[in-house]
Amino acid sequence: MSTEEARYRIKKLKTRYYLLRGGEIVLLSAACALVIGSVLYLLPLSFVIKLFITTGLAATFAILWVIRYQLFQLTDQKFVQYLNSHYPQLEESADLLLVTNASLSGLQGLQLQKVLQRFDEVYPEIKLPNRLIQSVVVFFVCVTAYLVLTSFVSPIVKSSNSNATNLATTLANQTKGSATISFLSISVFPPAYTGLKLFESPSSNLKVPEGSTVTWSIEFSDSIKEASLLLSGKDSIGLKAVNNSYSTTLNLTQSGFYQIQWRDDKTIRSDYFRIEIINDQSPKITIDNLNQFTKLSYADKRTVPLRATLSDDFGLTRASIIATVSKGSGESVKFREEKLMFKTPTIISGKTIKASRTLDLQKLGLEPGDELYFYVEAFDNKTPLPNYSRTETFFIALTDTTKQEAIEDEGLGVDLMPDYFRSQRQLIIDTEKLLKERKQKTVQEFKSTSNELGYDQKVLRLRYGQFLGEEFEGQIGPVSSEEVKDDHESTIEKFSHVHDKENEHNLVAEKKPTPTGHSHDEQEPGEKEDPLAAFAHNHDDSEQATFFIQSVRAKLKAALTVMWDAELHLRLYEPAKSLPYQYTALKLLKEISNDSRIYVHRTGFDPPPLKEEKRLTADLSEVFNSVGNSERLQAEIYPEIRKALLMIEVLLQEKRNALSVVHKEQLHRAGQELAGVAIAQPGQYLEGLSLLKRLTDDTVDSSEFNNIVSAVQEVFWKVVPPQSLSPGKKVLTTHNLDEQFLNSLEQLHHE
Amino acid sequence: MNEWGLGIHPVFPLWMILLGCFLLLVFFLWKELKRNLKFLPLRISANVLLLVSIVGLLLQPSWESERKSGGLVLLTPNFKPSTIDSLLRINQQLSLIRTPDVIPFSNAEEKLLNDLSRHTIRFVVGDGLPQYVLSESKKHFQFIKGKLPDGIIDWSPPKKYRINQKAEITGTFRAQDNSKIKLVSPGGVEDSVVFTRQGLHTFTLSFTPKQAGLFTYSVIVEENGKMYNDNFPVEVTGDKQLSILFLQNYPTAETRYLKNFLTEKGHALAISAQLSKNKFRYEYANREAVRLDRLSSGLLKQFDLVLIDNESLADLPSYEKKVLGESVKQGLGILVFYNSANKSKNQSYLSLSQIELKEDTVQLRVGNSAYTFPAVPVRITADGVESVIRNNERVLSGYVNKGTGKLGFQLLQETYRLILEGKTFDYASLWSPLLERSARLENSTFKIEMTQSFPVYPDEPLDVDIVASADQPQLTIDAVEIPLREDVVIDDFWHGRTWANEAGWHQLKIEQDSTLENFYVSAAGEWQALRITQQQKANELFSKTNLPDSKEEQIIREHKPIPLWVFYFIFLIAAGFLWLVPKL
Repeated sequence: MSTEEARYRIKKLKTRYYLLRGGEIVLLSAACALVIGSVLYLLPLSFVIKLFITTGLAATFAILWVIRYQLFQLTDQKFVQYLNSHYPQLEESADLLLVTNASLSGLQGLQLQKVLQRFDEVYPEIKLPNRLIQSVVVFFVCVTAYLVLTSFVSPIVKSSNSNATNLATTLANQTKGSATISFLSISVFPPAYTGLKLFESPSSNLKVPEGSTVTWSIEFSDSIKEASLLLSGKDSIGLKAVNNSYSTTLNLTQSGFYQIQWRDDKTIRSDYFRIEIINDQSPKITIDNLNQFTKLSYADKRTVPLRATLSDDFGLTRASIIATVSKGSGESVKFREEKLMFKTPTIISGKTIKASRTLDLQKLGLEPGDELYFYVEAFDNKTPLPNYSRTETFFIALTDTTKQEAIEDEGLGVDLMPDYFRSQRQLIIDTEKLLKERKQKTVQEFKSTSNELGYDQKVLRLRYGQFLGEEFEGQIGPVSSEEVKDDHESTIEKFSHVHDKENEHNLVAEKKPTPTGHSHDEQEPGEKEDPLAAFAHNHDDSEQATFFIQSVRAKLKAALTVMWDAELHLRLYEPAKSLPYQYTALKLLKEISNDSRIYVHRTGFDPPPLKEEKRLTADLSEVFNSVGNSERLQAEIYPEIRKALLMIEVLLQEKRNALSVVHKEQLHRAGQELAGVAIAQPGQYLEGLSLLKRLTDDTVDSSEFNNIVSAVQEVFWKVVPPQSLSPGKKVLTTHNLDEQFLNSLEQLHHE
Repeated sequence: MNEWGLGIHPVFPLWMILLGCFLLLVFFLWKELKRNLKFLPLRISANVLLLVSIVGLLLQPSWESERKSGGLVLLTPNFKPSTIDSLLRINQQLSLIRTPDVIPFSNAEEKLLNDLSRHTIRFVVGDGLPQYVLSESKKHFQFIKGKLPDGIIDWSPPKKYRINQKAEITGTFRAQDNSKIKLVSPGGVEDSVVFTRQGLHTFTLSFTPKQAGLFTYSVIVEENGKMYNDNFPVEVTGDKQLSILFLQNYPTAETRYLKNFLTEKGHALAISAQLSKNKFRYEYANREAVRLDRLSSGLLKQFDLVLIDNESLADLPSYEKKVLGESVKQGLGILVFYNSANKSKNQSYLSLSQIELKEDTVQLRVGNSAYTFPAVPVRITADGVESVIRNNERVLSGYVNKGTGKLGFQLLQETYRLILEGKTFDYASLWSPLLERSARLENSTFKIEMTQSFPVYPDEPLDVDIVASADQPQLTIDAVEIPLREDVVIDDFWHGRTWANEAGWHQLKIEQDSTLENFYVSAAGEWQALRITQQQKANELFSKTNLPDSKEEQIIREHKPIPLWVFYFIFLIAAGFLWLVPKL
């Protein structure tokens, strides 16, 4: 054997060692992974996490073993040392096998030959250290442990991992001898806006978000004729058959319950199952940093930070601050509403949001004395109609430190009426004043004043003429008629309180001659007569003007005539003569203003006019006694349930364990009343309804009969509401002696 | 027992023994006569003796002896042996007897309860004798009570339960340890009470029955981890509708709401409210219309209660007042709402004396809330005022008995506020008792009363008393007729006795007018503590009320059986002689 061959053999041995150790480590790591895996299997973790943990730990384990065996730094020298120490035949000279022949001394060469020979002899016997067998044993033990552990995992956990859930096993009480439900799965698609994923209902009793679409798919053990879903408060819904599987899809918006009904030879109904709807909640809004009433003084900052917390169960879409500024006080209060958006965040979305905005009162136009009312509103993402909620109204008031007190000051009343327009009373006063001051005035002054008064009288006449529908005869005063009117309205009326005006409180809409107004205003005398005029409502025909009723019109006409005369005498510088006319005009105008007042009816009772001849005569001969009749609206609440309660009590006392037909009928009627209650509160009463069904279907063993009957009685008892106490008649039996006793007592009392 | 004081306890029927022995005697005598031997008279005597001894063996005769005794001590369950020892130490002549349910003690002789009346008992020790035995016994004894039992030892439920009326049951519980009592209706637990200390505790349990009928509720006692359950009967009576007449000078909100409340409860109402002179408004609810323009006794007979305010009452014409007064004497109820303090000072039959006060408001607790009501500032000072609602010492609403009728009054005002506040239950508890107690009582011809107190067990005697205002009643229990005997002293008062056979509800019924009385028989073993306590009390009362006999020393007659070996010996001598004769 050559040294090369020996070296080759050593290399081979080394490889074998690697393989042995490697196999050992792999087996142990796998065993370790199995143990960890089976333990993790029992925990409710996702598969990826489990895999990750298992492989991670197993790899760590393997690395630890590799380090322990120092496989990565196993040099030939080390390996040869091992051979030397374990095989004395090699005389501690195995390392010579690794040395190149050339570098060997003579003695070494001799020894090499010897060693080669020995090595050849030893080689088949060389045993490399390993624990492969132990590892195999450990591995199999772990495999067994894995199988044992995983077989204890409950089927519910298992099935929850599978995609389609078979709920058929949860359907107790399936009638024997006919087709039964062999597979039932209920998938729930919550509405998209909720962001919830499609899930399988873990139980036949459903608890789903409002508006969810629910699909039932059912398979039966035998072929059946038809199947349907009975919903509370609705008709039954037929299930569509596809390849022996029956299914239907519904959109659920109301709580209630359902039953599955199918028919082969006979009709079979399942137990009642609950449908509980989780309603989408309205957003919740809280304002975190403000009291409901905040009062700011003049010195305070005019900015108020507003921080609000908005939350919703599925998500918010919009939120805003509705602010109302109130200015002024009393009757002159004015409101202005503004919608403000939150500054942070600008876009409202998510389930919980901390939103804020600074309210700049100055920008909102708040001045001392003004108040700001605001509330925060928010909408969620529910479709089609989002839920809406708002906070209470919050108040921010700016206190006014310079409040003005109104003082009534007599004698300071200033008549700001312009010269060119005076009332009739004013004209009279002025005329009388002129007559009084005649001696102090020069003739020229007197005449000119009289003329001016005449002019004023004309203006007044023209003004009243307007009400009669007369057209303007010319300009009034130095300004255009429109300007007069404008001034009259804007300036005079604003600052004065004119009593002599016939249209004093704007009770009659004043006619404003507008250039673009009624087209029939502009009918020129030369124009062709409009054939439609006869049919039109011509306002400007003084004879047909409808401002006033006939008597008023006559009076007004008379007043105008008198005014003409008054003006005439004033223009003739005879104010004394003019005065009687002016008085007459004033009187007439007063009458007109009284007559033309419009009284608005108050809403309410309009009593018929009293018959004066009947008044206070105390004659009631035509008044009859009145008779009323009434009956109680609701006799008894849940009469059938009440009857059933008594019936059950008798059943329990007689210790029966079966129901007769009469009993069943009574229970059936009571069940109908209970179903009405159960629709509203399925969680509370549905179980009772199920028990009732079992009783009436005769699917109750005699051993549990009493318990079920008691349970039904308990449910009935809970349904019957407490009522208020009613007085009742008491019964008394009077013995002859009692009467004698009472009579004697009465006599004693009188004595 | 016969005149000689000789008693026999035959092994076989007496005639069989006598006949057999006689035939045997005749046969033996004939044989003896045929035997040609000496001593014929002796042989005949021996034969006779032989047969007498056989008869003696078969009849087992006993001899009554008289002896002076300190008296008999009757042992009943739960007696304390130490008490007996003490008694015997004082008086060694005492002899012991026991009831069958007592475990044998010392040399106490067992006696059936039926036999006890024959003996004069001086002491009864333990729980005592059942009440039905006591009622038979007329003789005095001294009762030495055993220890008080644990559990519910007092239980006083209302006689009848009314629908929608809160019922309260008070009781006493003797607790050993931490314990809990729960009252359970068919609808679940209604009330419970917890005791944390050992000893005697009084308790109150309450519930409001929601449904009329016969029910069994139960009381569950949890003590030391043990739980036991006693059922008790709850007979809930429904409402009998009243017929009510409202008379008013003018309609008020108070009467309007009261009217609505009563209409909803189904009572028959007739309302007459004056609108003007001679002009009225009549209203009827749940009844036919009747003419109300003039009060007559015939009209008033249709009503159980007249509601009227004091002003309207004062304004009634005098003949109508008289008619009202007469009707009240015959049972009608009148309830007067006070609108104001009575101004007129003249007292009529239907007015109540009063004192004026200053306060015109009262604070009142109704249900669980406190209210302040306006009240007419008067205090009713008439004699015999029964209060329905009172505030401190002032009766705010109540009634006075007038003849067989009632005159009620209500001083509270504006109670309709409660209805407006939605507190219908409080409103009802304010008005219903007053209306009910003021109203006419329905006359029933018969009244059945059970004398036994709860609980009654199967096979115990039940005594029934009947008050009859007519002819002889005919009483049945569960459709089986019971013989009745009239009371010796009181006319129209009948007694009957029956035995309850099974646990559960039973019905007593008078056939004439189907008056019913339901009673409940508890299952044996329930309510033991209560029964024992009641029995102890009854025995104590009995021993205190019945006077002791004058002589303490008593002569006791006893049956001493003649020892059978005497007869055997006679038989042996006689037979031996007959055997010996041929050899002589």
